[in-house]
Amino acid sequence: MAEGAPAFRPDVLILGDSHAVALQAGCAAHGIVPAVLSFSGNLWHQGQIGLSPRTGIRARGRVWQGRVTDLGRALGRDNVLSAELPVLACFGFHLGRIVPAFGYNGHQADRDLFLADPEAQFASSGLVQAYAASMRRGHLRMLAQLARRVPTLAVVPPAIYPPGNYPAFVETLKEGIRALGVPLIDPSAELFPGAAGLPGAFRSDDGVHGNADYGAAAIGMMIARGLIVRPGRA
Amino acid sequence: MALRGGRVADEPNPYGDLPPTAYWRSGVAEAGIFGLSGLWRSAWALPSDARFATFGSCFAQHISRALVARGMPWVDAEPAPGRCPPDLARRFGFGVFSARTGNIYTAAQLLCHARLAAGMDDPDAIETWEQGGRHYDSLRPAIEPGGVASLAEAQLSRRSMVRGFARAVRQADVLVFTLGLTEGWRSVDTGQPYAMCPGTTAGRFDPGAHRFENAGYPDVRAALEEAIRILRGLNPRLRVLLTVSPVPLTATASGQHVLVATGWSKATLRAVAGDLAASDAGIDYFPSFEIITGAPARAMFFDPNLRTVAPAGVDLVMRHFFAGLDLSAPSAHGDPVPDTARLAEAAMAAGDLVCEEEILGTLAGGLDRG
Repeated sequence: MAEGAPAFRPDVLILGDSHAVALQAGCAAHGIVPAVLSFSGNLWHQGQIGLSPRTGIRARGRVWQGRVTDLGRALGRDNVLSAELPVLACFGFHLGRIVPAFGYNGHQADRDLFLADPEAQFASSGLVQAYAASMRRGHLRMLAQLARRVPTLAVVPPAIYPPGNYPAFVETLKEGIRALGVPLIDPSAELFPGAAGLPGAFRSDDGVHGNADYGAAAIGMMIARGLIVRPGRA
Repeated sequence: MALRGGRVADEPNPYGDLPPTAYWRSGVAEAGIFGLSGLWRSAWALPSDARFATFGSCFAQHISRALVARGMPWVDAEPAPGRCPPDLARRFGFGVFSARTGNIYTAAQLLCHARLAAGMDDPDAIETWEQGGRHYDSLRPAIEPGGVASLAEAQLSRRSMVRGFARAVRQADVLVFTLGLTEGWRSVDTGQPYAMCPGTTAGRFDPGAHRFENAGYPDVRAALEEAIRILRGLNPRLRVLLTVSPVPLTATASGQHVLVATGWSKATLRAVAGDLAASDAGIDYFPSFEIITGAPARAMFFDPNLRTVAPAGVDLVMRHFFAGLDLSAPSAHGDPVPDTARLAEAAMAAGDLVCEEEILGTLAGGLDRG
């Protein structure tokens, strides 16, 4: 595609899974124009999404790569990534694809839940870390490479999950991302410290995502901290 | 013996009607290592779906693998997390023994595990070693790479193992226990046995706090008898199949030459195992030790380090094991078909055995790393 006059001039690129929807709504609420590249958590989990020197993002499968191509066309360039377009990266977790499997044989990282269930096996933080790394090493590497190319902020998905292994996986993946030097924000933990997960008023009807209000609060916090810049304020 | 001039005396005597296997010439010398037969016949007619739990020294891991590879119901009472990559599972001590005990080298260690499983001792009272901010279970210091993050995690992990060990004993029809060593180390204060000498795998050695023990026949036998008595309290129908590891000591702290110390240690273990099998109908002995170390093998099954056992030796041992196994009794469990996913994963996990005692070899300049 020839470089041309961009028809679309977004302020941020939201790259991730289904949690991108709330962030997109949040951007809209704050007058930020987002470009969105979202793919199902299954595709991310299966390693179908990666970086490409030519198009910035590559997705296996014509339909999915079509999303990248469409965005590039709207941006007026082949490569959807640009140093002028910061990325909100909400990928790399996809906990629903790994945490239930981790618990198939009764592994439990939570002390109290382990002690309460005589059939449970205790999962050390080292085991959780190693298991998470084995499943998400490629995703974290992609995040680090992305962050070297363009301004990137990793956004942790909202805390909407049952107690037990989920918090342990979230924490270990957060540590992994931080260890790579990628800036990270955990909106639900910071907006609602001490709460047992995301309050109901901020949850979408499907029960597993944050809603538009959550998105607005999350993006508002990022703006307040200077992590993303509202148009005209740069 | 009633032999004169190399033949059986003409007069009737107890040796006249013995089978060929009773004579060294026909049973061993002429048969050759691969012609040996009738080395072992199971003392029991086990149910066709008999469940086996395996614990013990390094060599016991071969038995675990062989049972799994053959699709036998091997008790995995502390399995790896679902979809866990096989190499990760092995690094964290899953699927090696029927619970994550790590190697149980001595009878004293087995007794310690039995008491914990029966609730006779507090798992939190077992020593945990802190080193460099990491915490190591003194019963299985190498069970997780680099130890765990906190004392609390070490204690919870140990409780998990104790549950797993108790589950394994309760679920098993046969507990296969491989005796490895008579030498070990204990706490001076509490008498708690350690899996390894403090300061080798983890921990710090303190001559005032840690004492060496080379258990003799009476102590080994007493510990084994007590352990088995306790385990039968958890599972009254439990049968115990003892083996002696043919793997020599990596190092000895006895002051003797390691070759001599190995002979003493193995002879003691072999004698205890044989006597217990002879005196208790619920205990049997399987001669893996003889198959690998006996004269017919001419040491051919040892790796170049003359210590670890090569796969061909393990295969031969397991051929005799399965040949002598009697699974003619009716099914007892109505087990489902073997878990093919687990079998497939186990088959892929062809990594090295997990043997903490190998670490002693590295202390000798890495001579034993082969």
